[in-house]
Amino acid sequence: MLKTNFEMIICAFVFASLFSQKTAFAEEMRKGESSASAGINSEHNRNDKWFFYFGAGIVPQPKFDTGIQSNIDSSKQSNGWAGEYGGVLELPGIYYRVGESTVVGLIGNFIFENYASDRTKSESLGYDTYNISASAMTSTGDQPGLGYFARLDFGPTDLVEITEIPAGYSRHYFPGLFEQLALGYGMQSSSNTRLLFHINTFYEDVVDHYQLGISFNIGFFL
Amino acid sequence: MRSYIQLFLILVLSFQSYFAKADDLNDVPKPGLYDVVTNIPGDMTTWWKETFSKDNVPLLVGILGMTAIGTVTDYETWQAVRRPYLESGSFKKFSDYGEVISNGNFQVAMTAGFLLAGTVMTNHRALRTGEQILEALLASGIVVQVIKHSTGRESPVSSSQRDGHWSVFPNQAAYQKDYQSHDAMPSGHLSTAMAAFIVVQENYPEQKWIPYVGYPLMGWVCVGLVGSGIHWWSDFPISAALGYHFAKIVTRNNYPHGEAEKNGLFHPDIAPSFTEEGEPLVAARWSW
Repeated sequence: MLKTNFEMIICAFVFASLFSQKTAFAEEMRKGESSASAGINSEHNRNDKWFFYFGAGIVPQPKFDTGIQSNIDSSKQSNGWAGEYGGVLELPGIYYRVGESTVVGLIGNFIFENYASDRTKSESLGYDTYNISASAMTSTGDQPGLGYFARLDFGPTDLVEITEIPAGYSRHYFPGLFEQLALGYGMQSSSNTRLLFHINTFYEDVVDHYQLGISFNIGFFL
Repeated sequence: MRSYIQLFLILVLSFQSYFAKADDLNDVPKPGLYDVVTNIPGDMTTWWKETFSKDNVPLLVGILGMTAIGTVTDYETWQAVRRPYLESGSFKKFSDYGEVISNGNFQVAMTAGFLLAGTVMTNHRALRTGEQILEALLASGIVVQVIKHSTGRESPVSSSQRDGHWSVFPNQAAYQKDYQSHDAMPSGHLSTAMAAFIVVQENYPEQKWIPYVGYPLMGWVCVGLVGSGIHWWSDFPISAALGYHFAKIVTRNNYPHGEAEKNGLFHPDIAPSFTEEGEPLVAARWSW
């Protein structure tokens, strides 16, 4: 628990640092009319209030508590078709602009992991995360999603353990809370679309278990 | 099943009639009978030039990046939809209908509906919409088939490895013999559905509800195609981009006066004129 709190403090510190730097950086950009991080079409969507985001990513195997980790290890030993990465879908992100380059809203974070599977024997073990988070994002550019940005998500989650045996599937549900910090860079990709690259650090604190991991994501901010 | 399809077609045709009755924003010229075919080479050229241009690099990077990331995790994301598809009868029905509304028959019915309504009611905009749907389907279909026949990716249901084997430039006889083992990338279903939806949206910009219905429908189509094991999630970014781009290309010249005309705000027309005494004037006419 101490470790968890420490990580959350670090996340909060990084986020606060970025936020304060953003304020200074935005001021510099206004003064110098710098457009290095503002993209090629930074005049577009200057007055838009609502934004939409969808993205996808990959998750190298996260760190689990010992209970889940031992399940994964034993399943990997008995089945041979294990995946190296989990998949992330981030959608739909619906945001409202509250500042020049700051938006708040809701986003769904869905993580799908399948650590061992054998199709011929119909045996597998998977962990899926279903989360809807309140989300806030702020950017160093003069509009949302342009330049360096930080995003913070926080909301309820459900970690689902899915065990497949020849007779069918069995599921165990572990509700809890999901916290995530995303750091990345956004650039104009068309007249009304921005391309975002970001690294997410997430922590899922559920009943009896936890999951801590990072993901590498790419998405479009419209 | 047949009654559902009949009900579906009635609904589609009712929608066409509704659109056909809508007042035109401007005087739409009657589309040429052979425009559907004669425009396609130009559409393809425009698509090529715009897709592989310097300005389009960020968008290409994004679409290909999402495809690459999706490819790495396709088995996991497929399983997330496949499991409920196998377990739940109602989810299976939901998914199967998603596949049905994108298999081409629905888009052909839409085209026929618009053409029929446009002809019967002498509504050029409905006629143009029908022709443009067909044009977008043909143009995007050509590119989709070229990519399918070049990449040769296995569909989820017939995959021999975790995320589908790629047979780059496969033997075309083998392709025809077992197309499910070669035709996953990209999705013709989604590009077709997206092209038809965007063409309708571009032709009826005053109908503000169309995107709110259209985009969720596209999501439904994706879930249906993944659940039924026809496509992987990573097949979709390129497919959606192809359908969207071709629809935008074929509808590009619908509103030569730009966004203001498209939104029905005004239609300015400024021309030189003379008084009865012969003094020069500038005449301005705005209609809305």
